Amino acid sequence: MEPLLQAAADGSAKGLGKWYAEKHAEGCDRCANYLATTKETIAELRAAKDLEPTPEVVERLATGEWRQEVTS
Amino acid sequence: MSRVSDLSPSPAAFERELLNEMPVLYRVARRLTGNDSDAEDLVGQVLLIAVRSRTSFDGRHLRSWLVKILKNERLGQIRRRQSRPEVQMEEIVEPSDEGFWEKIRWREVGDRLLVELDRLPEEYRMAVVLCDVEGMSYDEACLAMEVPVGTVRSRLFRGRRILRSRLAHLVGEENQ
Repeated sequence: MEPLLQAAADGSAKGLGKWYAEKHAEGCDRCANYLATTKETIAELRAAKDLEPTPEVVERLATGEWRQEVTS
Repeated sequence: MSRVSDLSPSPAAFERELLNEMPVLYRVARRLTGNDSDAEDLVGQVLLIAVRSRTSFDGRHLRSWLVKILKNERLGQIRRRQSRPEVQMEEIVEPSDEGFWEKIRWREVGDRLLVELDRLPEEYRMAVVLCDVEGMSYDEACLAMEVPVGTVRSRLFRGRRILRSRLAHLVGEENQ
């Protein structure tokens, strides 16, 4: 059941699989909890933009060796 | 074998698209390497390889193609540097108290979640970063990781399972 619940949580479950996971969770507290917390975990991960490059890094990368090859 | 596809962008468009993908590449590289300097070196190398091998790009799924280069470069980096050993797999323990998730305050757990993400074995971390953090589809991730889609699903499943288990331990410790 766990893989099906994860697929329902990340939106990749389709058709019968999606229907079954959601229907089952409606009547099963344990799976409802699993589905909700997995959705929450994925939402937290999706919002994780803590590792953006600094402007200095962007500048260095944007003007790096590759750029010279493009323009040469 | 390599040839420029009809779908291949012009050099100027290709350059623009590379610049657009740079933040994603950096975030993935930073998650994989664990430090800013290695991530910057890795992305710089990926961009260089991408420019040099542009003719082998078929014009589709640029992000997957770039992440595939990044993954292969990272593997080479590990081999060359004899990088840090991977964290050993731990036993997955599902919490017995099913109400424990309700005790989690998600804002506080958010930071911890990222710490635990960085501790995942690299192949699982890659799947979680590509699919959950960067929002790539399974198909895009399997092109990038060069594994079947079933393997992406399985690595993602295990990665999330480990995260869940570790967060459960964290909540258990706080409640003691």
